[in-house]
Amino acid sequence: MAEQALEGSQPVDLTKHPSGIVPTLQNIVSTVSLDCKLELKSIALQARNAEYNPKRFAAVIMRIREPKTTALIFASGKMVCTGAKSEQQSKLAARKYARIIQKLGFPAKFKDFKIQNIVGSCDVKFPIRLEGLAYSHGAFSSYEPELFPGLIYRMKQPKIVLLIFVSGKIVLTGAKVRDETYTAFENIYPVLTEFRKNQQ
Amino acid sequence: MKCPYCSAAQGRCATTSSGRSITECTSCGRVVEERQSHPHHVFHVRAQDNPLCLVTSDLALPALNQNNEEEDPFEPTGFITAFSTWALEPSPLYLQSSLSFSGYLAELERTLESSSSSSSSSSSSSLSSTVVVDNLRAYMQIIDVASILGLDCDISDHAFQLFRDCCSATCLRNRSVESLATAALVQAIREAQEPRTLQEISIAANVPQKEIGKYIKILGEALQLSQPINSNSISVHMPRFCTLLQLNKSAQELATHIGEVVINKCFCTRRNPISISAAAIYLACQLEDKRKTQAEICKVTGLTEVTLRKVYKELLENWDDLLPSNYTPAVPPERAFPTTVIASGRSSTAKVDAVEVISSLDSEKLPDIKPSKPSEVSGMVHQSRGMDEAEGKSNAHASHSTLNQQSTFWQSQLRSGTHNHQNVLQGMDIDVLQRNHQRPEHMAEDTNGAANGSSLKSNNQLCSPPASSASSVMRQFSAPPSSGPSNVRLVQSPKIMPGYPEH
Repeated sequence: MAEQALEGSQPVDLTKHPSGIVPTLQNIVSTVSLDCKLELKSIALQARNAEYNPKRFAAVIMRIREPKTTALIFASGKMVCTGAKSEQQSKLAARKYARIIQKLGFPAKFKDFKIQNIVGSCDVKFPIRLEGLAYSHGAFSSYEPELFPGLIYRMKQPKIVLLIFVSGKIVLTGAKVRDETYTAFENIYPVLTEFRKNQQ
Repeated sequence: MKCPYCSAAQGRCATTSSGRSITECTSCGRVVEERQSHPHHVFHVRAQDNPLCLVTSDLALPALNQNNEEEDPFEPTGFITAFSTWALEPSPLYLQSSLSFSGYLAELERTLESSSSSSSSSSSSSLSSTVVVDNLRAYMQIIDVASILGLDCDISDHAFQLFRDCCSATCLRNRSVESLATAALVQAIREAQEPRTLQEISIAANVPQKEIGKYIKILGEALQLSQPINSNSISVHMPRFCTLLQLNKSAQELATHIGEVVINKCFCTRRNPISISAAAIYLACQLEDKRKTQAEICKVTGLTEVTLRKVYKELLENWDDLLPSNYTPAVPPERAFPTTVIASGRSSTAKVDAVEVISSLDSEKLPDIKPSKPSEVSGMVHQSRGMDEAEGKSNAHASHSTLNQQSTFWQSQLRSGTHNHQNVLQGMDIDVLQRNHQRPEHMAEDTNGAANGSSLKSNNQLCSPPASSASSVMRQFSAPPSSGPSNVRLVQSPKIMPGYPEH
């Protein structure tokens, strides 16, 4: 039986998460093709939860409450769904948007659903020496405190970008699957402990 | 003249391939100076107009041709001989002036020639000319920014080298040459440990900070550069700021210590190191009694005063942790930065003092001023009271000097014209007055309950004329000379109103 630790109230599988910390997924961005041309003006006029300003942005912005998400619907029939907290929620939300488009009289299908980006975050609960980290991992790091307070770490394998802040908060973005986020965090955790700041 | 590259003093004259005169450094071989000669046409001499004279030598030379029947007319005889006017052709006379200037461009031209000659075999001439133009633009940008920032030649040379390496390593189509050149200069500055803020560089280069940041990333990826250690740390910028502000060593050391503690203890995690440096300097200046205004510090650091104040307040929350253990400040911290003001702020409610003014002066001697509106008088009362409080005189009503300020009070008069020495707070509730007197001043000031509200109400009553009085006048009191007997007495009002028996 796998070792377990408590992360909040949930038990953590230490074989999968040796650090004992599981990054929380904050946002999922997915795309889907409705496989038909859409009349955006009519969608905006008929739907109650849609906004359309062609001068500002050439897509209808539609929102639903459950799952709490936002969709960008383009005239080509392509749709981008953002704001879901899990892959299942993202797919469900995309289906709901497709159903709304169908009810508005368009022959919408649900083709090529794909998760494009997963954003996760976590807290290692100790401060980090970003300068030392930027110096020793110069090939992957970019730290410009005059422009942005976090260190941008571009991991090669898996191809994930991490924002590391001095407070110990980490943001992981760019993953296509959940496991990439977890792997990236497990890869970076020993580096963070190496550059742990000793508070005087 | 010294070589700007290697500081050698020896130079040699040479000529470029284009025919320009230059001075090369003998040790490093780089172009130190370029000279441009301008021939000026002074005047045009014609032999027939001005016969030229020649002074011949007075020594007799052996005859070259002894068998000559005729004498040689040009035989040196020791006399001044006039030449025939037809013997000389017209010849103009020129004067040459020479301009000398820095050899950067000539050095660049030479560098580009050497680089283009090596690349001309592989690439087309049009492409190489574009590269030359880009290099020239980049070099000019680097030189301009370096001169504005007062940087060394070695740094600008290294920056140009980085730029050229980046150009050869990656394709720079649709990239800004100036931005990349500026990014190369930033990298060179950091490697040379010459502290300059991105804001300074951005202003000097006329390139947005975000753009510079983007191109630093491109440069780093192209050349596999790592960020130089401590390139952004407080300790790098602090000495320069302190020097520019002309701070002494102790203030500089204290500011550096404060900055390091702030970073190590994570007090201002989201703050720019420049902001922390500025706030640390401001804090150190106050403790060391080297008063520098916020404007002065902001001018040097490039911050806004609002940012400086915000970070300064953040530092003050932990000021006792920031100072070294064995440090004794020149100014006590309580006086250097009043923490009470920052923690709580001043109370906005006005204090109401129950003061009875008793005068034995004749009413004829005092000018009677009839106000047109009661509101005007109340405004004057507020103004005089505000002045007293601003000057910090808590016992203002107990001294003669404050009476010189012509404080105005409402007094009710009897119909006969004599003064009725009544209490000013006659219209107030007794229990409110008792409550105000029993409570300490600071408690009465800070509480926001009913008592405070009633004190405000009483203040309004104080400032408005009593409704019961038949005629209301405003009296002006002036203090008598100190030598004579005092005609004005200030009596603190009793705990209960006059006319009520004490229980």
